[in-house]
Amino acid sequence: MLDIYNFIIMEKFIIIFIAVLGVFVMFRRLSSIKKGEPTADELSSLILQKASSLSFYLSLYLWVVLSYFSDSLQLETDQLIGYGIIGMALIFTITWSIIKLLGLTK
Amino acid sequence: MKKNRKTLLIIAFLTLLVVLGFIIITNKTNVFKGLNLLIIVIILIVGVIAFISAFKKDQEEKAGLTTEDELSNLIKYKSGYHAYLASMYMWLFIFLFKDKFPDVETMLGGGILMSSLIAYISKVIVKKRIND
Repeated sequence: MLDIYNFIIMEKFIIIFIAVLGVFVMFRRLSSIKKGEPTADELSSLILQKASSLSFYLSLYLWVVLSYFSDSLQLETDQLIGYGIIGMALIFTITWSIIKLLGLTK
Repeated sequence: MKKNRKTLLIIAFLTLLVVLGFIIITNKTNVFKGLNLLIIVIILIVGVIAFISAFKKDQEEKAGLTTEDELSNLIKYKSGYHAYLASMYMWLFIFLFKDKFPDVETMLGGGILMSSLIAYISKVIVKKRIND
């Protein structure tokens, strides 16, 4: 019972985290527009492309893991796909943050 | 043995293994019908594509060309970016039409195979756009 409760809290936390991140990005872009700065330059679009490319390949592994554990997790089909999509968004957020912090390397 | 030759052998072996595994799992019944046929066709397409690209790399290495440069990295990133967005929408569609799939494993397996197909298609489109 406690596990299910923790699971629901974790799920809500992840959704709120992604939503807050989206709002943060939106405010940053709005402030850039107000200052007359470009919202996206060559570097930021390259970071975005690299992060999403990497997260695409990582998310394939996430789906394989989800498929493998689909029986033991005993989740509903819509829950399973929902977690997968949230996982994809989370992977993208993490990879984008790492690339943004560490910078682009060959 | 060169690295690319090893990759060629591994890809060929893995494709055969996956196809054989799929036939064994479906108990040799209804393999060439409906969704099963589509899955087997996608497995074969992915295998052939991987084999051809590994073969091309091997040929380029033989000719003394560099296999990875700045342009190829750019193509990889751009195609990955488009594939990520497209696969998000694809999973959304799978979510909407989840009742059409016989079981969860088929649904997730089909989704993964479709993702790899999307990645290949986006790579071809990005390559064509850059070349034009």
